[in-house]
Amino acid sequence: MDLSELSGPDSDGRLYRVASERVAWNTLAGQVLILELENSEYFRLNQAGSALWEYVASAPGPVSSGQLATVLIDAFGITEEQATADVDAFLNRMGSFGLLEA
Amino acid sequence: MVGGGRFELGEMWTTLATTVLALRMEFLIRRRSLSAAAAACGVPLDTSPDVSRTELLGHGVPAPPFSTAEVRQLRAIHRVLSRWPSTSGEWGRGTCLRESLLTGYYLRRRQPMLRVGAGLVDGVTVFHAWIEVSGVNTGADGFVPLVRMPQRVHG
Repeated sequence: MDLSELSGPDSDGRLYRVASERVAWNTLAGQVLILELENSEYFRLNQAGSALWEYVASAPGPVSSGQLATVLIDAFGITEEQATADVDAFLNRMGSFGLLEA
Repeated sequence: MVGGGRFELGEMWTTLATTVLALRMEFLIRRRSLSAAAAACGVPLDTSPDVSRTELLGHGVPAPPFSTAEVRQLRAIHRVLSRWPSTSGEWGRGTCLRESLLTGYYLRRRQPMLRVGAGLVDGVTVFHAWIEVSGVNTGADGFVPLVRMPQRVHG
């Protein structure tokens, strides 16, 4: 997949990337597992969250919420509205724990 | 027997010292970040994505030759932690992190590194901690370490 060709719906203009100084992670059986190093908290992401996380982590640069919504639409065949809502929830959740930074 | 008595005294002293260390370590775990607690115990947290050293080691790799004092210390760790209050299910029996930190502390002259990771046990994801000392991975077969930003390529 060529990331530069993605143009997702309703991007809010902010770009997101993994807070690489704060997290250690890996993938096990398709599930992303994250250790937040400041507070020593562990996170297990579900299938959609894992897909989004791996997309952000493997992107050559920061990504938009629109790009992430496109990932969900392509991967799970959900509506644009649902994808946008899921991405917003993902970004809010990850941002609140400092796992992603804008 | 005098010899036996001296031996038992040494075991008792090491167990007492280990108990004090375990209490201090518990305080560090609860009050500091994992990185800071590990560093304070002399066993820095290793989150480097270079896991080639770990992957090279597996079944049948002999443990480093431990001195008599180290064997006594490792026995004391087991003795103390077998009676340590359990924490959460996330850490299996709840003592692998504590065991790793105490072991790392006692073996700190060998420059051990703490690793944290996860594995599947009976189909359930469990988090785990272990140390790598003298190039040997201690007790992490089947677990993947959590690392900083491994390079991924979209399929």
